[in-house]
Amino acid sequence: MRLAQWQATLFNQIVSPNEDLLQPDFPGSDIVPDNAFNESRISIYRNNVIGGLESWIRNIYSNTHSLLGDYYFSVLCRCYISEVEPVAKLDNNFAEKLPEYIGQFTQKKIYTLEISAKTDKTKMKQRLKSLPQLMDVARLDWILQKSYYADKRKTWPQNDFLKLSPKQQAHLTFNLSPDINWLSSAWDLPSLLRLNVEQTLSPETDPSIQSVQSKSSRMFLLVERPQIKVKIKQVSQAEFDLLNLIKQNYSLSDIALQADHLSTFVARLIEHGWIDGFTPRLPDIETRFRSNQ
Amino acid sequence: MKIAIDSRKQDEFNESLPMSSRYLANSIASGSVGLGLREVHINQIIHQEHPVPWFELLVDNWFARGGFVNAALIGIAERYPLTLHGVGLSLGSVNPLNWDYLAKVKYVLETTNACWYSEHCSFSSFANQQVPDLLPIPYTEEALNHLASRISQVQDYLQQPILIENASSYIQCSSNEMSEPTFLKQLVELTGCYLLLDINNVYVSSQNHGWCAHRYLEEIPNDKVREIHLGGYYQHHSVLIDSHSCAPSDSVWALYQYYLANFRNDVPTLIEWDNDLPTFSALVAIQQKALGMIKQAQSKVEPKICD
Repeated sequence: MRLAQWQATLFNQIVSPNEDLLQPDFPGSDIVPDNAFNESRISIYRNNVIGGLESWIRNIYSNTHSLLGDYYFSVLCRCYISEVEPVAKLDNNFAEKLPEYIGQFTQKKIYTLEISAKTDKTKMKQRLKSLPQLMDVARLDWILQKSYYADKRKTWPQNDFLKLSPKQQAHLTFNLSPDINWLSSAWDLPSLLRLNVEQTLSPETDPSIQSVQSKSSRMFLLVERPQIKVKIKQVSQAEFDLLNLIKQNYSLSDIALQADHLSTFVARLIEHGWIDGFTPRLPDIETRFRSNQ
Repeated sequence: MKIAIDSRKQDEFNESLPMSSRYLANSIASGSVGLGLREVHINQIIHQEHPVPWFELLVDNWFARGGFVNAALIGIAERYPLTLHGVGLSLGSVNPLNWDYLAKVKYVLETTNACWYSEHCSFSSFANQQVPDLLPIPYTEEALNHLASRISQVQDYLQQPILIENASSYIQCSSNEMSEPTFLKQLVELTGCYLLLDINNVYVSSQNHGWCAHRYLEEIPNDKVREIHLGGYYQHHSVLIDSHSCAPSDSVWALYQYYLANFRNDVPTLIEWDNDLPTFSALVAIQQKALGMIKQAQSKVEPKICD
């Protein structure tokens, strides 16, 4: 048997088991000593794979796991693996869609003929309905691990920035530090999970933000890893909105056009180390002018 | 067609190693016993006195270039000799080599000045899919040449020989053209790589396939074994499953003693435990048990014959 054929066959049997396995002329019959025996042996690999993926997900979503408990978390992982990422590329983005999946789970209709799986899923649905905050907990888990494994942030290149003309400064886009991630939630996640949270700007200590403070009850959280440890900070809605605009590559002049009050917060973000660089960008009009020359 | 790397070139290859690597390679004492380093034990390792002379990192967990992971990596490397062990390269795969992954391995190698890097004689990816397990390859000429070619590319890139570990297996290909020990022997000859002999894996595969574990140990190129792994398995019906979730069984300890008495008692040994981790002191107790067996073997050498 050729190496590629062996690998294709084995992968197919582990990842997508099917009824062909029981047919004697199936290429996999090359796996000794006989098919009935093989199936139980191959199921060891299958279990190892599912167990490995589950363990991978559990490491990322530790708070979600604590809230759900072992049994339900295991059911959740197995459903997610089979429906969303059977055996995709195992990279830093594996299991990224779990929060979204949790959010959709209670809306899903359960299609399965297998009674035990159906029972598990029905119980799971009930459990998730009793934990409406779980999707946001999972989102927080995800960004906590993203920050934990992020590259080191750079030092803001102040001298390079000062060399630019005011016009160039207005049109550049900012680079966010690799360790910062943020989310908003209707739930007080830090209290729910008993996590320590720092406040960067509070209306009491910083009256300048009172005018832009959100009146909504949402909580805006930023996760960062300035040096060694990952920290969670509560930020203002203004900072939250500004981070979103910067992520969308808005320049300072774009930001001023969109919401003038936000541009005043850029210096603060640089001070916090959340912006660690910039990319010069000529305005369209100059680009056109240049190309016409 | 075989890969054009002569085993005689191995010594030249070793000579070309950077001085620091050669120096550190010597700093893992022969016949010493190390532990697999796990993040939960880092504080104890750094702040408590213990008799563990060196550690092995599962390199896949140490790729981050910042934060705690990076700081801990540098801190541990400053205090202890390290070896790197990988599970994600998928050396036996027909997919193209994962150079991004290798670049990360190289970064950790250079950051820690680790003595060596080891991987498995297996594959874990096919097409655009990857599984978190080590799957067996057929022992054929084609697979041998393929694997040898990839090992050579990895060694050229890392500028040092690597170690290849015998993986445990539950199935084998009926088209096998040679035994696992013969396959490993030829791989070493073709590439100049070394072997990482996992005694637990030898026992598990032997039991699962009906091989003679003693004969297996006789047939591998023992002069090329540079590290030994000892781990635990569990039994599921008639099959032994390599789990790294418990201490080595009595049978594995017995096989280890057989190896020490009959083949090599100077090779560094590593205690592997990845799942359901015990306390650090429990791991140290196992490390001491292995060390005791090495000392015993070194004090009296009585060759035994395979029955």
